[in-house]
Amino acid sequence: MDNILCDELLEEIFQKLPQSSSSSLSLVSKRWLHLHRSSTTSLSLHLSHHSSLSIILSHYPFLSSLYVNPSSSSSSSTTTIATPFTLSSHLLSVVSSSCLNLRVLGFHVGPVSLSSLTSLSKACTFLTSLSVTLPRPIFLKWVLSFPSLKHLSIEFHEAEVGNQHGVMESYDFDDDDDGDGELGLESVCFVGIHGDDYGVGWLWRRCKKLKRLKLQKCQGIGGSYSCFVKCLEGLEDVEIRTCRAVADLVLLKLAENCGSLNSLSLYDGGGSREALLYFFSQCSSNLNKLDLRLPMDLDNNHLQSMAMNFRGITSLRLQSCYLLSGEGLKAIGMGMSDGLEELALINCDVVGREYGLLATLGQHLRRLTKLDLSHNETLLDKDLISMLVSCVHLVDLRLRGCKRITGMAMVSMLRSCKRLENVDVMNCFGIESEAIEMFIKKSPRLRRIEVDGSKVSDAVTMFASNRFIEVIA
Amino acid sequence: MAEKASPSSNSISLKTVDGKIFKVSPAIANQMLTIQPLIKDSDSSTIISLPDVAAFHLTKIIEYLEGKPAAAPSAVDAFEAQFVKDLSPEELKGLLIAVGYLKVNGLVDLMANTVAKLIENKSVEYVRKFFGVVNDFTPAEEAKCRQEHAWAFDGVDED
Repeated sequence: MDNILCDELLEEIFQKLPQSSSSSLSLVSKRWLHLHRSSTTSLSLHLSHHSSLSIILSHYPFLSSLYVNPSSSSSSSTTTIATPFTLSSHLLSVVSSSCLNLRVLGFHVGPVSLSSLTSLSKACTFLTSLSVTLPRPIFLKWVLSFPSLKHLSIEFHEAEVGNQHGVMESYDFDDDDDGDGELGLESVCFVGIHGDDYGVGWLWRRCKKLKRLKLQKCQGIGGSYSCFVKCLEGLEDVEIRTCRAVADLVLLKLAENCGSLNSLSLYDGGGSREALLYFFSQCSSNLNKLDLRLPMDLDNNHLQSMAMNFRGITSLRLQSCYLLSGEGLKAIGMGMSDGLEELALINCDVVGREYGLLATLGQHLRRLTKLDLSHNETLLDKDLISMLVSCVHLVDLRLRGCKRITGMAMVSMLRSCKRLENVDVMNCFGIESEAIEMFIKKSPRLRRIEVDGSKVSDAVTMFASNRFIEVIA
Repeated sequence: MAEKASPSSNSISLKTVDGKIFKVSPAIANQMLTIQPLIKDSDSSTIISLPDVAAFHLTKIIEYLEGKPAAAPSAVDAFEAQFVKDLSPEELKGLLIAVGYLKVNGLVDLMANTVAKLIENKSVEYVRKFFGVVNDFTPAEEAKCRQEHAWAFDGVDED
C-alpha cells in the first residue's frame, strides 16, 4: 500500500520542503526514510552528541554540502572546553572518512589540526568552499592540497595550541619564487588575524586570482604589507569589519594597488580622516557600491572628494555619520545625479536637521529606485514629501523607525511614487492605521510591506493576500 | 465530453481508467512525456489507454496545458495559484499521482510543491493516513530516528 507515490514523486516532494519538515516526514516509513536520506545533498548539523557523527553521516551517502556547528543549547558544555583541539580534529577526520563527494564544508566545532585538514584534502578532492577554525601558530600551506578550492573562510582561534599541532611546517620567507605555489582562491574571509600571523602572509603572496576579500576583527594582516599587496590587484569586492588597527593601511594599499574595485564596505569604525580622504581622492577604481557604517571621522570633505572621484557609483549607503552637514550631501547629489540608483542615509542626524536638504537631493537624484531613510527620528513629513515628489521611480522605500512622519507621507507616496513595490514603515509611530490600510488598498504595484501588526486589520490582511501582497508584521 | 480539444483529424485519443475517451491535439499530448513514444506510432484510430488516470484528473491536466499562459512569469504564477486553489487534499493527491504517471511538463513541479505545502506542518501520523502508508518501524527504531533528528538537524522541534 506504500507505493501509491513512486520514488521519483516522493523525492520531488522532499526537495520542495525545508530541511526541518522533510526530515520529520522521513519517519513515515522505512521507504520514506531511505529515500529521504539518499536524496539529501545538503545538511546542517548542530552537534551535541559527538560520538554519533559518523553514524549520522553514514546515512547520507550523497552529501555535497555539509555545515557542522556546535550545539546551540550547550555552547558552554564542558567537553568542548576541555579538549577543543583533539576533539574537533577528530570530528573533522570523521567527516573526511564519511563524505567523499563534498563540495562545500563549513566546520565550526572548534580549531582543527593540520593533519586532519590534510586527510580532508585527500578524501574530498573536489572541495570548492571551506570554512574552518584554526589554532595558532598559523600555517596555510595545506591550502595547496585543495586544487579546486575557490572560497576559503578561516577564523583564527585565540588560544595557542603549541606542539600538538600535528604536521609541522615552516616558511622560508626569502623564497619568493616557488612557481607551483599559485592558489586558485577567488574569495577569502579571515576573522581575527594578528600582526604576527606570518602564515597568512604566505597566502597573500599566492592569491593572484582573488576577487573578494573580507576581513573581520583583524589586528594585523599577518606579516608584511609587501606580501599583502600581491593579492590586491584583481579585487572586486572588499569588506572590512571592526578592524580599526588595519583599516587605514588596507585602504591605502587598495587605493595604490587595485584598479578593479567594484564594491567597498567598511563597518564599525576603521578609516581615519586622512586615510578615508586619501582613498576617496586617489582610488582609481570605478566603484559601483559604497557602504560605510559608523565611519567615525567621515565629514563633508570626504563626501566632496567622493562626489568628484566616484561618478559611477550606483549604490551609496551611509549609516550613523554624525559629522555631515547638508553641504556634503548636496555635493553627492550633484556629482552622482546621473548614476545613483540606491541611496541609504540611516541614522544620520543631518537628514532631519537641515530643512530643504532632502528636497535638493530629490531634485538631483531623480533616478533613485531605492531609498532608505530608516532611524532618522527627527525627520518630518514636509522634508520627506519634498523629496518624494521628485523620486517618481522609487521601487523600494524604507522609513523604519522614523517616529515623526505621519499619514501625510503615505498620501504623498501614493501620489508621487506609483512604482513602489517594497515599503517598510515599521515603528513609525506617527502613522495611523487608516493611512496604512488606505495605502495597501490603493498602491498599484505594492508587493511587500513591513508594518506594525496592530495597524493592519484582518480584513486588510485578507485583501492583501488575495492581491499577493506580503504583509510582514 | 472532450470535444473542446482540437477536432482536427490527427488528434490523439486517450482512454482513462474509468472508460472515458478524450481527444486532444498532438501539441497537448506531447507534453505528457510518458505517452510521447506512443504518439509517434499512432494514427487517428488508435486509442492510448491510461490505466492510472481518472477522467477528472485528465480534465484538469488538459485544462492546465491549454490554459497556461506563455507570457510573463507573474502571469504563470497567478494562473497556477488559481489552478490549485479549489482542489481538496484528496483531489490534489490523485492529481499528483496522475501527473507523476504521465510526467506532465511543468505540472509535476506545481503538484509536488502544492502537496509539499499541504503536508509541511502535518504530523507523521496524518501523512501516513493521507497516503495510506503503513508504519513499518518498530517503536525502538522510530524512537531512535526521532532522537537523531531532534538533535542533529537545524530547527526541528520534537513533537
